[in-house]
Amino acid sequence: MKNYWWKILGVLILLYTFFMGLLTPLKTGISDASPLSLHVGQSQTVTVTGYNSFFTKEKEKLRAWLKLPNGKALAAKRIDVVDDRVAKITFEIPAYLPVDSKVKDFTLLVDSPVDGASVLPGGISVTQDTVNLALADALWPNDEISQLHEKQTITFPFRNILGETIRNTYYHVPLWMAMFIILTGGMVFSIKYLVKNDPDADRKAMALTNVGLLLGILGIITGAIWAKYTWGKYWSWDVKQNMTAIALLIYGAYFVLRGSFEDAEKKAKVSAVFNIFAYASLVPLLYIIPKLTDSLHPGAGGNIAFGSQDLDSTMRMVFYPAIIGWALIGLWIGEIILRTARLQEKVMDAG
Amino acid sequence: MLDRCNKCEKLCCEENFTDLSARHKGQDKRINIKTMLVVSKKAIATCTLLALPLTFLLAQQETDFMRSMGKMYVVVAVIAAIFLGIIIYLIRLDRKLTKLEDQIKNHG
Repeated sequence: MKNYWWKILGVLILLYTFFMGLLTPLKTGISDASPLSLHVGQSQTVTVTGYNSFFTKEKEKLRAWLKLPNGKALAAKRIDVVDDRVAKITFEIPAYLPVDSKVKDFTLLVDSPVDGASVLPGGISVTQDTVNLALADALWPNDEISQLHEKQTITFPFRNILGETIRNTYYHVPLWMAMFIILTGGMVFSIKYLVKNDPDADRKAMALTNVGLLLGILGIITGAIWAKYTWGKYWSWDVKQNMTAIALLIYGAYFVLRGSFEDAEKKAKVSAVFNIFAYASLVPLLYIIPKLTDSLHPGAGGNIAFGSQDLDSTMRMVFYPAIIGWALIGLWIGEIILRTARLQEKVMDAG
Repeated sequence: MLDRCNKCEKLCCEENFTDLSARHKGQDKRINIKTMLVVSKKAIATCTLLALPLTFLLAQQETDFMRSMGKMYVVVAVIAAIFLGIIIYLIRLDRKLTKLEDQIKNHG
C-alpha cells in the first residue's frame, strides 16, 4: 500500500479531470447569426442562434447591441424570442456610421439575466455608401452598454471556432506538459548515470524516456484529431507541429541507438550522452522556435498566449490537475518498464 | 478474406485455409499454435487494413456527425485515441513480459 499511494492519487486526479472536464457545461455563446452583413439607413433583423442559451427565460429582460471597437454602440430596437436557441433581433441603423471606412465589423453583444453576456466578436459587418463623420456623430445614438450580467453557474468559456473541443485543453495539452516533466526526469537520470556510472540510473532514464515518447506520440495524435476539426487539416505543417514531430524523431532515434549496441556499458554511456543532447534540443524545438514565427498554436508569434481569455480560472481548476495526473500515470508506466528492464537484465545475466 | 475451416470451425485466412484443412486430414485435431499465431496476425493486419479506409470514409462522409453537438465528438475521439494508444502500449509490454517469462521458464 505504501508504494501505491501516488498511483492511486494519479488515477483519482485523472478521474476528477475526466468528470469535471466533460460534465461542466460551456458558457452561453452565439454560435451563428444571419445575415452577417447589414446596410445602413434601414431597420434590419438579425436571426441569432445561441449556444447553451435560454432565451425564453426572462425574455423581456433580453438586451442586444452592435458595438464598435471604439466603444460606440447601437442598442437593438426589438427582440423577438423564437425559442431558447433562436432570437430575432431588429436594429435600426442610422444612415451614417461613426467610422471613416465604408465597411466596418461590429461586435454583436447579447445580454440576458439567465445566460449572462455573450458576444459574436467582429461578426456583423455593416456597409455605408458614403463616409460622413459629422452627420454620423449627430445621428448615432451612442447607446450605453451597462449592467451586463454574468452567468452564475460554473462554466467553461465558449469560443466560436472551438465549441466543445475547448475541453481538449485537458486531454491534449497536459500530455505534452507531462511528457516534458517525464523527459526532464529521464535527462536527470542520464546525467546521474554519467556521474555515478550506475547501470540502474541508465535503465531509469530509458524507462522514463520510453514513457515520454508514448505521451508525445499520444499528444501528436490527439493534436492531429483536434486540428482536423479546428484548422481543417490533420497536419497543417504548422511550425509547432513540425518541431514536435522532429523532437519525437530525435527521441525515437534514442531507442534506435540503444538497439544498435552489443556492449552494455557502451550502450548506456552513448545513449546517456544522446539523451542529454536530445533534451537540450527539446526546449528550443517545443517552446522557443514556435514562439518566434507565426503559428496556429496559441502562445506563438502572431497568436495570443494562454491568457485569461484562453484559460480562465475554471479551466485552470481542471488543467493543472490533469498535468499532475498524467505525469503520475506516466511515472507508473515508467516504473513497470523499469521493472521489466531489471528482470530482463537478470535473465540475461543468468542465461 | 476470412473464412471458416470446415473441420474445426476456426477462423482462418484463405492462404492458410488449405494448409489447415490438410492438417485435419491427419489424426491431429489440434491446430498448431504457430499456424494460429500466423493466422491471427494476418487477421489483425487484414482488420486494420479494412478499418483504416473505413474510418477515413466515415470521417469524410459524416463530418456533420463529428461537428454536431458543438463538436463534442472530437473530444470523444481524442479520449478514445489516448485510450487506444495506452492499450496498444500495454499489449506490447505484455508480450515483452511473456517473452521474459518464457526465458525464465526455459532456463529453469
